[in-house]
Amino acid sequence: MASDEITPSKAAPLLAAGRLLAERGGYGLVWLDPGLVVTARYGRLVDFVEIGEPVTDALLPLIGLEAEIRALAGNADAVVELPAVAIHLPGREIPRLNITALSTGSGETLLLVSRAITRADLEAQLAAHMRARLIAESELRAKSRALALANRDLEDFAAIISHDLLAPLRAMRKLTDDARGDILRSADEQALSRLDDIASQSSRMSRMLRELLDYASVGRKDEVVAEVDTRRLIEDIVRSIPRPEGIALRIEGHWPRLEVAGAALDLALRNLVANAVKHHDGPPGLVTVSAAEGEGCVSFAVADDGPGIDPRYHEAILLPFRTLAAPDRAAGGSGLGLAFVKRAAEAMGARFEVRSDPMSRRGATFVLTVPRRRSRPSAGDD
Amino acid sequence: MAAYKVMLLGEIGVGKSSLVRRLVLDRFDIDYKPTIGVDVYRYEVPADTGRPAVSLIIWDTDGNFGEAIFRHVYMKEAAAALVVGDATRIETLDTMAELGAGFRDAFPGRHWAYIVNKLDLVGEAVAALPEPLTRPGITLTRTSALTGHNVQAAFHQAAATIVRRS
Repeated sequence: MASDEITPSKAAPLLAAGRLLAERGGYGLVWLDPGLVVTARYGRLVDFVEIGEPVTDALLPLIGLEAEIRALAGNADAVVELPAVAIHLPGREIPRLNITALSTGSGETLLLVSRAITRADLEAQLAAHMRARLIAESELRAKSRALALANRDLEDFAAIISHDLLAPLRAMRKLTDDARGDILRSADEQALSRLDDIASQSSRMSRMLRELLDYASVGRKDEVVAEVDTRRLIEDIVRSIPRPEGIALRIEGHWPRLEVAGAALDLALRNLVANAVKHHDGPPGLVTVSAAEGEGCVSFAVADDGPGIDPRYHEAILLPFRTLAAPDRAAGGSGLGLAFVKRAAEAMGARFEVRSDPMSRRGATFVLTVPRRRSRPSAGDD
Repeated sequence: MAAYKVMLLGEIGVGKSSLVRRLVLDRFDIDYKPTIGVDVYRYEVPADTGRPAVSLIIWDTDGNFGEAIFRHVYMKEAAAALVVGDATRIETLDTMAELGAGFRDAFPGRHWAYIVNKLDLVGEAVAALPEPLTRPGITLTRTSALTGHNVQAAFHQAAATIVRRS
């Protein structure tokens, strides 16, 4: 059609379009007398409405709205609207309809009946809702899994507190009894020695509690994810770890810039390197830290040529306060180092593995595989 | 013949459409298609002792309306509401109680009754009803749209009460 504006003097195109739409069932018109009896109708969509019969015989949803429709006669601007109603009449298939009633101004009521969205449209909407629901359910399952893990952590904690933290407490109780006996026997030197032991156990327990609190906080705070220059990070770590003469530390591989929770990565690598140095039975000894880029991830490995770890203990050493070193050994830590690493790995969504089998060769390698969000070559890359 | 508008209310999936289709068409569709918007049916209740024949114009509503239904144009001049719950889903019975109370407050003096549907799935082991559904004077019918058990009775009882009150 030309771009002419439709005006009352040139209404033919409008009439033609209106007739075409009505013939194709896009809309229908129904005229009602003041008694709401059908006086005329137009359009295929309303061919089930009988002329001469009350409109409510066919348009069932208008039952109950008769008074409102009659009241339209006194208000030219008012309309009564019923959206998206499906009428079920015996032997008839009627599409879902929008019904609008308005006054013609000459005592009649005009009903504009148009086709509402189709069943197919509704089903498409429903499918979209279902998809959204499936996604929400999937997220809920993921959160349930996270909750199950948290519960497992809680159980671990309960076990730790009931067993490991009670050990120094039991020792202090026994030392107190012994010291009392010493004092009664006037064995003052021995009593003083036991008091020193009590102080030592008390310090040990304080340290364990402090570290346990630190451990609990890893991964529970909102970790800041930012770009980290991993080369600079590992160099800082290596510089800051004290090590005995004869234990060498070497950095190898390609260390990229990485979008990661920097604090968690720092904690993990720092504990791995410190652990490798601390538990080495040298000197001499070599600890090698390396990075390698994989598909969608970066693997960080800390390898040593120390005594290694029996595969039977690979899982146990990741639990808090579990250490293979004797508690009184100078090198023995609190037993939280690897537990920190495991927890930091979880916070980063990383995988953490222990590779060691002293029966076949010395040494242990700890591998942390961090998923990569975005990376750029580091300025200091090899 | 007098016609009365009866609303079917209740959570999505409780069987409102199945009930009305069993009543009007004597049919049960295995494939579940949620109602979106509203479907309107006519059902003629034959005359009974002391009661003339009447038409029920049954509005099967989309369960997603919740309590917003009471402010919708669909509810205008409703003569009664049948509030439906699912015997296999206890939470829908709580919703039933809320919708029943909502209708009572929005349309004082109009008839409303409860239908606990899907009896065929639970047999006699119907879950304990929420307290508001067990109060004296509450009308509650247990139905199965699948077998047709009590479906007609629930609507005929509603028709009788509507006529008595009108």
